[in-house]
Amino acid sequence: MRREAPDKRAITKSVRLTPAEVQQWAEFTTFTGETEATAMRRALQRGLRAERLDQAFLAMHRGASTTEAAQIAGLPRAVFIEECLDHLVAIDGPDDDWLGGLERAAMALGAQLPRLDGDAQDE
Amino acid sequence: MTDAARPVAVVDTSFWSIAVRIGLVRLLLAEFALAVPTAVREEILNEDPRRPRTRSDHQDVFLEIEPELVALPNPEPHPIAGLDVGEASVTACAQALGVIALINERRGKRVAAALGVATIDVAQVVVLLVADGRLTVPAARGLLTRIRKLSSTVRCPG
Repeated sequence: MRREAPDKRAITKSVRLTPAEVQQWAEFTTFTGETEATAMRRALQRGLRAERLDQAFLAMHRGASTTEAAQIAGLPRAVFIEECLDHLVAIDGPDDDWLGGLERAAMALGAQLPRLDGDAQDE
Repeated sequence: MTDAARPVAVVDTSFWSIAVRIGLVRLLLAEFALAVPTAVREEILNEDPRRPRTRSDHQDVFLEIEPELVALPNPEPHPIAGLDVGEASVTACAQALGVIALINERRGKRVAAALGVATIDVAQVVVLLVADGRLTVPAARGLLTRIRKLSSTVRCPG
């Protein structure tokens, strides 16, 4: 089966800037020696990646799964999880059944859990 | 410990990432014979599009221990519907083999539990390692503190 080649045509988008913003771009590109188009394109892509990551973190706070949030960030799931760990974004909320789950797992594995201080008094 | 003495456990991606981050992988391998479904392997080894041709720690450690992993049935069991890809294949494999699933996300744990699959997250593994005498309480406390900083699945005392 023949594969369609990816479309690499550049598409022009226009934005309106204030005189102060135009001045900032002029100063910056004077310093870097780039054309404004090159600098703007790079800044736009970098900004978009940061925005997508921020939105993905917000989605996590709203209860999205790591897979859903990774799609928002535009990253593979494991890469996004690494970002969460780097930025100390909780991968999950508190688990109300954490101790119950631990006891069930211990039972399944035949493990003897450490006793809590109060348990000894019950005997 | 021999493979026969270690229970098999199937690992999900977020569990793996946290285990690598807190340096738990060697202890994990001592406690469990680990199995990693193809979908999870692909998730772990997926390249970061921002840094092509570079590998991060969670990928390096995975490639290092991959020869020690337990083989899963080929073809692997059909993933459970309604879960994320990694969790879906972990739960399906754990259910088919009748073994533990190492999952860190609550939703995946809930669905797995409903299907009769025992699941444990990284913090629970730390407690089980203490129960098994592989970790001291102070060492476990240190690991739980690190996990608490990384993820809010558990609130450990002090």
